[in-house]
Amino acid sequence: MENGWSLKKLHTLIVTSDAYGRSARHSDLDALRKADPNGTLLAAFPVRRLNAEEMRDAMLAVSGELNPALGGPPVFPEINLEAALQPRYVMSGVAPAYQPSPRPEDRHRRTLYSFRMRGLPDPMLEVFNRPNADLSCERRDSTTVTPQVFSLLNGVQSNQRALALARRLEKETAEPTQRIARAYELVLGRQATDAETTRALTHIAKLTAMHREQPVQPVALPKSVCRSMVGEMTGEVHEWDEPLDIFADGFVPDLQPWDVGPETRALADFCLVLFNSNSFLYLE
Amino acid sequence: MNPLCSRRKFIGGMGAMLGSLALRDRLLADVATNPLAARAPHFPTKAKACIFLYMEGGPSHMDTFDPKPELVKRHMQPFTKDSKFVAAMDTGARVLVRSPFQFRETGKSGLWMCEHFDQLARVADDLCIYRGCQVDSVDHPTANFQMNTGNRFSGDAGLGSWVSYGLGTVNENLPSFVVLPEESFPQGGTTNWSNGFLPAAHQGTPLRPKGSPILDLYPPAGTTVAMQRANLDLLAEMNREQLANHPAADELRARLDSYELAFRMQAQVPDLLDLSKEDKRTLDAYGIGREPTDSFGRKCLLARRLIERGVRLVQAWSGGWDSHSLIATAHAQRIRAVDQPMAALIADLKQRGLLDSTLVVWGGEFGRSPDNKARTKDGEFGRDHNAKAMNIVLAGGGVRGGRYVGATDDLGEKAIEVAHPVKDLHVTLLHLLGLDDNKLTYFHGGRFKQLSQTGGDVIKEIVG
Repeated sequence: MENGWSLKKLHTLIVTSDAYGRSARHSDLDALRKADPNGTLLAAFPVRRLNAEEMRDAMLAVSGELNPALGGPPVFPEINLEAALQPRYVMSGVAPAYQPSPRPEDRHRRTLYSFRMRGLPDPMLEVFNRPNADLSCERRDSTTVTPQVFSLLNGVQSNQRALALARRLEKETAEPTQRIARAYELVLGRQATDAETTRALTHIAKLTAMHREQPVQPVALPKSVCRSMVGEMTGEVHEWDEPLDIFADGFVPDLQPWDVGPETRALADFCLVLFNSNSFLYLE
Repeated sequence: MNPLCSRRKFIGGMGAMLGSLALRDRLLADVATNPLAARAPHFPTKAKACIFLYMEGGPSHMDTFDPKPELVKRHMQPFTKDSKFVAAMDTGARVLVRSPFQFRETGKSGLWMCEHFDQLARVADDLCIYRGCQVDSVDHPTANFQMNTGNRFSGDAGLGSWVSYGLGTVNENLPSFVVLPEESFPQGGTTNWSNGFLPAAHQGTPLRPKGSPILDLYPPAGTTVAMQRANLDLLAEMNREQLANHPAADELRARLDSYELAFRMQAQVPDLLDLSKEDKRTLDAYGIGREPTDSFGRKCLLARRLIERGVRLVQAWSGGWDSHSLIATAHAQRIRAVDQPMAALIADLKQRGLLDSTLVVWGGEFGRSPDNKARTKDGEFGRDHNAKAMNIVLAGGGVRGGRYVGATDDLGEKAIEVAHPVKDLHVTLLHLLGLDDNKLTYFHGGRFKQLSQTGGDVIKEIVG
């Protein structure tokens, strides 16, 4: 009230407070297990999963790709390619394919600035409980569903960010131990223990050997997509090709697995594991 | 209750599946926190599952199950509609048009069917043809939304999501609501099977007919199963260490388990979709391996396999029913594409003793009008959209077959007997599955929402 009822001042006070800044980790776990086994007494702050947009933005931020520009017309980040090319009926035809913005710096804007189509939600954001665009939502759901695993482990966003992060680690540090330290710092916001460093190095060595055995063939972006629909007039299925002009001309792809060697791919695997870890996805 | 601890935070969706007995026990032990735990219906009932055969575009009732001799008599005579809300395209002079098809009575019960329903005639005595359904929209997207979610505006929860919410699943290996779409998604896209405001575990999971059946099911180029296994082992170790710091965080444990479940699922899904293990007689019966029945035949057979494995609601889509012209070729082709698969499905369910416990529904978003543009050449005519008359075919699930419920007028323009809005059909379908629409509610946006939007009536004649 003394500050003219300013909500901004109130928010600042809350988020800079000692209570707000406390860890969700209790300092005495044995006492916590005894006194508040179900977490109902709020002896420790309950962990909260990042929401869909925060998750994508956080991956972009740590991979060093995030473009923090404010405002402007919406952009088109890459989404699952099969969903992007998924034919959808509209009045008397099929809606044009979803094509991402050609420039990486546009695709790497915050998720807030991505274009939203009601008939084609980004499957990765949808599966992490972003509400649909049709209804207001007073509180988000944060259910754990298995397609989240597919999206975050196999999906285009997390894999491209992991590869970009691997490249960043290689650029910023000179030797493997430093890379692990920097990865923990960037992704989890803490120091890696010696045991964690050793474990990570062993994992990367193992994966490097596996990647050496398994060369990766480039996957070309499609220049057109075959469409088919049942004709209103005939009831017969007919097919045609829809050209994808952005993929055909001017699209600058992000770093891809076939652009880098087995060592970088193995480091990217480790980064992908970090992105999938609860320590990254949940606020502690 | 602590508002910060979500009560809906357990594994759901494609969810807690396969082995993992400890997890399963824990889930079953706490029904309130597992969105997909099997739940008793509100009252005992025969139907445990539903297969909805969705004819997108609006199949014509008077060219399928509802013959109109009056249209033959008045063919090409001028016609004026009494309301612009009855059909979509109201411009220009209109004439009545007869059906280009011959009709005959089928089965012991003598149900009328168009000549192109060759195979469905064999199971006529299992069919209940409801002729009283009416909807509120003559545009495809809004009518699709209404038929699928109860609301003409997009964003509400689908029928399958409500059934999943009401009954949970008896097989935690699979989602409870599965959609078998055409290669082209319908107008309105995935919102047609959205969980809306219900928890995401109840979302319809489309199994796509081409490409990866589930998006991102397989690792990206350059990643082998062995690499993924190694990555998952490291991840599990890290997640277990982190879990030790949060003894009360069930959600973290659920995520840990979900990775193992997902890994096994990558191997299981192709097996589920692999129809080659069915014997040749079954494949032939469904019309698989030949045109025009292959595509819908696969969906119907897959629907049976999913229902057998405990899925609650399977929605199989057939597109292309929007015959504004040339209905003689277009509808004939569509009918032939679904006739044999649908007949085989009903016969197969019956033979396996599953028809009583499986409600089969056939229908689209609206019916079609008795008239066409006057300037269309005779023989090339089609039909307009019609919200006020349509046929819905029901089989199994405790619905007595070999009969009609309700009737449309002499021209097929409007339902006149046992006429009900689509919300009553929804209430009736829920009722057949043992669910009371007034009890099956979810608090959202400041009120308790339900599939019927504002409450509806069971259509007694269908249930009786």
